[in-house]
Amino acid sequence: MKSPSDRTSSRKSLPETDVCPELASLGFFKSQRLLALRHRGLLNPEEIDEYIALGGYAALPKALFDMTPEEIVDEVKTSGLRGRGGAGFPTGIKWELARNAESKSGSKYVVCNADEGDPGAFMDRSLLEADPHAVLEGMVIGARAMGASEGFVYVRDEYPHAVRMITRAIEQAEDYGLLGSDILGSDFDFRVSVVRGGGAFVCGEETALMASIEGREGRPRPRPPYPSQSGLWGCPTNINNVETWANIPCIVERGGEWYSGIGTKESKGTKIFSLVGKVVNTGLIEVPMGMTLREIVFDIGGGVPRGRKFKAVQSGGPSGGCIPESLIDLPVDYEELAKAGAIMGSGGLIVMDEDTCMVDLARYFVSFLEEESCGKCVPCREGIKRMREILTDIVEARGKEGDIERLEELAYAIKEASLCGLGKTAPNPVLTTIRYFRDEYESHVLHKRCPAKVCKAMIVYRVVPERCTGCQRCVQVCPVNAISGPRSQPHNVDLDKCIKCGACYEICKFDAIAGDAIYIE
Amino acid sequence: MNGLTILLGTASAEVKAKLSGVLQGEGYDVDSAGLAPDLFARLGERTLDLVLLSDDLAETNVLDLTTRIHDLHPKLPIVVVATEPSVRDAVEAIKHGAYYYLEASIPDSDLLDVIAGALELELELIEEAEHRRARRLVSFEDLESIEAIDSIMRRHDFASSRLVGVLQDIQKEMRYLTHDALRHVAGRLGIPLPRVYSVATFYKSFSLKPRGRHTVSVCLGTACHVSGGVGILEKLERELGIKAGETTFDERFSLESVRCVGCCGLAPVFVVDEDFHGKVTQEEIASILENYE
Repeated sequence: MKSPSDRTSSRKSLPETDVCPELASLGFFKSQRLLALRHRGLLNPEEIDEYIALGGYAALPKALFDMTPEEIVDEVKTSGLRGRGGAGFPTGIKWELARNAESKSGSKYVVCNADEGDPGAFMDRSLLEADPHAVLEGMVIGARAMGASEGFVYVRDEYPHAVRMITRAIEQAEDYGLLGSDILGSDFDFRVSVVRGGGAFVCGEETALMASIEGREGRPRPRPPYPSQSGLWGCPTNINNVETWANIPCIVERGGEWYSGIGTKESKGTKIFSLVGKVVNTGLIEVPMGMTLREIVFDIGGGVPRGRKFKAVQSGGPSGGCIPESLIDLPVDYEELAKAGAIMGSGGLIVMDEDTCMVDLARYFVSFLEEESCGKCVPCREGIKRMREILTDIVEARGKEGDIERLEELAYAIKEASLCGLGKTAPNPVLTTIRYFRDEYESHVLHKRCPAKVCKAMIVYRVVPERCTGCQRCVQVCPVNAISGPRSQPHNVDLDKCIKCGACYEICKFDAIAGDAIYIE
Repeated sequence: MNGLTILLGTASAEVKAKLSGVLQGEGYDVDSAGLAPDLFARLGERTLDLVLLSDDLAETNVLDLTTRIHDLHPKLPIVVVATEPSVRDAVEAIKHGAYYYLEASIPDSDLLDVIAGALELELELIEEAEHRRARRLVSFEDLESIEAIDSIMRRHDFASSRLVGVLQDIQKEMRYLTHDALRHVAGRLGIPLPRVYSVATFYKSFSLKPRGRHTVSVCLGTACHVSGGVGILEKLERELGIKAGETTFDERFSLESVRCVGCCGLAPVFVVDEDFHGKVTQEEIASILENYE
């Protein structure tokens, strides 16, 4: 073991030039502000001691011994923290409702929602895998504030590593007396167990999630009663997202006042986004609320790769919407995103370039939701199916005049009449793409043309002779032997054989395969 | 010749000639015996596909004979041909293990239909038995699997609220959920069977059909969708010769599409069992699959 002085001297001996630049000086990290991700990469998640050494479990004794439950709730209310799972309901108010609710049997529950179903978002997985104790600490504090004695972490079955990490963290916390009976010598008892989901997107909805924890099929039910009145087994229950829980220790430790100093007027603190898709630097980022999309995509994300043109950002998963280039200076917070027709959601930001077809994307989300609709209410079950049929016709070159209007009409009905959030928000991807990219829809419907060259029914692949070097890689990769041509000479695509799998387009290093849009009569 | 052998038990030369003619005309190999001891000797010395018994054998009641043959060879179909038919005998014959009871005066075509039906049933039984053996199924005569399922439920404290977790663990161990397993779970946890089925069919991660040794899941999350995930799925479908949701004939791979495995930074991604393969191209797929036997 080196003594501190050794370490200083070894640092001094480093040459003047930056051999190892500090994290904060790198473009990707420069404008990030890490709160929920504060321990990212700094600790071994399997060792509780490392979390403690970095100051973890310091907020817990404060909450247990120096604060009354009411004070904890007030602190969270002051912080302005809002639910990070998507809807953005103020966490402190939710806690207060659960705290004040009467329980007939005397039991109350807290739940950590880690059923991260939104495609394109993975912060919950990452938090549980990299810093499970922060989530647990948040839950113990919340349980204390609300008077709950039992908690559940509901994790997707697709995240086996996260399940292992949180399970291990619970065991260690129990060994250290940070969970279980008489926590840290107080008279407060709290136990947590892990429940694995079964691969149903709708279980992220809180009433469906509770049904799943109770061992039934995860179908939502109408609210009210809200979980804070009648949740698990009829008892008051408070459900928060993983990221929300991970923020709690910070807020208790440093105060709600401090936390509310970060962010915008209505949206406080920081938010983790998963920045993915057609962007140079992909990964999780944590930034203060109110940062503009431009800063996120271009400064942190490094812009669109391969010299392609930026087209849009999809935010909020299947319930969210697409934000076009014209709104790139939008400050990202709950209100601004909602105004643009999208939602914050769990924080997936998928960057799209000119190669993404917005109609195809809308169909992708709608078919996702069609599969994931639990089928309980008619508007969602049937309405989404009809939307998918219309969109499929459009991308397969069978679109008819009036289809776009029909989509809008259906969208309105589904939004108004569905039972739960899944159906109420299902039309968002269609509505925002129509709102911002109506010309693309019209091009598909009226001219049978896909400007992004994605929709197979409207494209043919051909070789661009000026660029083709005759390297034969495409000849080798073509599964149906549709490409021919001698080495070092431009190749040919046999259109009768081509199944449009795109393998040649993907493998060509010289951009010599073009997916040209053609007109279909 | 169709390779199937039928043993004919009759003492009457007339019946023997008539039935042998009909059966041989259809391609069956026919062997015959006129006395019960001869009949059992034949049963012992060669493989037979069906026994056709007439009720004219001397000193032997055809019903007793049926019982004895059935006890010795429970899977061998027995068809009784009665020269003096009666409803009571018919009922008794079926009870004693006969597959069918016919009147001797029945038209030849009907006789052949009955025999074909009996042989088909036998084939089905054999196939099913082989099928079960092949995948070491979990048929519920199998005490070991009852044991395994019980120990899984014990881990979950036999709590009915842990149904989802119990089914997940059973599926992990046995690759899919059989009717027998679901019935057993329903009984032990005190949950009505329809409710167990509604849970087992609601969640995507459960399969009621046999699964392959390896599960290939192609991520079709948004990031993968915009980065060519569909092409990867189609390539896998071509490579394995199956569609998503199906299992290869040799039960090596099951292919499925999943909604986001949470590795969006590595899009497009596909997962084999618990191994993640990120930023894959269609070209690499065949060589990745080779690593899984």
